[in-house]
Amino acid sequence: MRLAFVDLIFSWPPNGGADIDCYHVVSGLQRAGHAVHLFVAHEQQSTDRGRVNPADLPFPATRIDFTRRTLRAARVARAFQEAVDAWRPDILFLMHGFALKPQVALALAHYPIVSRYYAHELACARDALRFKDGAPCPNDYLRTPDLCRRCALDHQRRAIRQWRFRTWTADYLAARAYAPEYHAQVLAALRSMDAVMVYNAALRAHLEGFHDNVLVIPGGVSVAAIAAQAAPEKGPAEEKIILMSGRADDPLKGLDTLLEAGRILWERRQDFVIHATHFDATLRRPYFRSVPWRDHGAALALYTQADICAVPSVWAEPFGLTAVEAMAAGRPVCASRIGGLQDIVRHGQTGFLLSPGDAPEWAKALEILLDNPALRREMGAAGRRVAETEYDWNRVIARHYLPLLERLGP
Amino acid sequence: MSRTFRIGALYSRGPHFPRVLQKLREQHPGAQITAIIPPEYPRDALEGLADAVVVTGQNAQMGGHWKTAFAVLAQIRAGKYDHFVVMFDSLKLRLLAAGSGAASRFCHSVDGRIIPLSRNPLPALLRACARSVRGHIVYAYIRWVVYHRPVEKSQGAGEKKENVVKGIGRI
Repeated sequence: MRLAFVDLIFSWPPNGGADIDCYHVVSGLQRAGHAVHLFVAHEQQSTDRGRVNPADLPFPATRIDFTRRTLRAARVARAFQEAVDAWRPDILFLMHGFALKPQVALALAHYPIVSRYYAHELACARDALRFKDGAPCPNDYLRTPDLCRRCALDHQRRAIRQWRFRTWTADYLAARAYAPEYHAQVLAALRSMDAVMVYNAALRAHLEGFHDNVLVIPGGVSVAAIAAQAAPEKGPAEEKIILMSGRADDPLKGLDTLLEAGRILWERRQDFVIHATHFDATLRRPYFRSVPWRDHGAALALYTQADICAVPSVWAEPFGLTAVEAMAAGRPVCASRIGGLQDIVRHGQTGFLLSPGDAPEWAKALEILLDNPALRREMGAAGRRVAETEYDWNRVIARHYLPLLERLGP
Repeated sequence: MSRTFRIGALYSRGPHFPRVLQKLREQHPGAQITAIIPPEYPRDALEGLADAVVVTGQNAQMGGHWKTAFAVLAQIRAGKYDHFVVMFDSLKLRLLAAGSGAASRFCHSVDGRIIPLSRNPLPALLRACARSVRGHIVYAYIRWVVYHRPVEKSQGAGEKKENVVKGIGRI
């Protein structure tokens, strides 16, 4: 089957989990014997849109170039339509994108479309996080569009006024996502999709009444690649490493909770250190070390050096890739009881699910694991089994994507 | 005897400071590289990357106060650098680079681009003003649209895929 993938944000090396997901889905389906082609938008001088050299990818890819001036909805939609029509796919996968995605979907609606939503792109016009003032936001763009339009504009006021903005706002302006007509375009685009993929059941429930074929399809990890990382030999007296991987600089990732839990623990014991992939080298604590920002491949090695992994997010992570990677590395995971993390971590079996932001509870759980190497090993092994059976890319492709293609294919 | 080529690199909060120093070392192997950092920046992270360290009172980019900026500028000028490097292309850092006294000034941006910075800050200032004027006008227009043109909820709802495909031309 000929499968086209359109991604309006993709970069490689990756900027985040969505890029990694796209990369593995495309290469996984290529390995499964399908002809694949990735079409990527590139915005000149953008640090996060289309920063990729197609020759570096293991599958065919086309980069469609735009400048900030030419990044307009009609032009973007037409450029992708021409490129995809020239390749003539049987099925089109619409991967990551922000406000321009509905218009591209409508331009390509003559193909069977499967669209992936990675977070709350459909629900939140502000920043796809649906998280405001330290708590999940009860509103959503599909149901309360006028409220969300005001919130989105308020949030972007400074960026627009200074005319210095990144991809989200560039898309907001290019797609005229502030206009009342845009809401109808989003609904029409949803109708144009034959299937919508989301990461967890809560996201699917949110789309009830707007689309009748919403599929919960998890992301994945390359268990073999993570397991191949050499684990260093450690003596019992060596300090134990609690790792927080991912964009720890982002306040939504909850580093503050972990640091506070570290402070509580440090008053009682000094046999551990928290490592976080955090680019502000000026953040210093006796029990905290900032691990330099690194590429995704090198970051995988961090898991095997760690004793415990922590995912203290305070917002509803749709998937929680770092939790799955830690499990694949055979490490116990302490994660917030929120969003997709609740589906991934099995409380008491592969780690602990803890209240987001509750530092004393986090300190208690971390102490149980620090005190008990046998429990760490047991939970780590259970996590590895779950990662292998449910989240290995080969399994994810075979279990979710291939049946989907059979249903939609010609 | 000729003086050693001096490079000053000013830290701003961002992921690529070590990468910038590494790049400078590769480009200018014989130069003396000075890292200009805030007091809380760990010096051990600069081992092998910088020959000297100048600790400022505060990070010039993060601290918004003009007094701080002038104090940092005085420290930079005292270094008598031939080549001055900042990490972001912002108006504040352009002004700081222009005042550094260095013969050449560059921004090493996070995506690896190296942008030359003019000694004369006026064009950058004018560009920033023009951007700001444009931004304020666009913002005012969008605000008017958002607050005066509500969404009509019936639009688009209930349409089937076939109708959407037929109606593509209306975007």
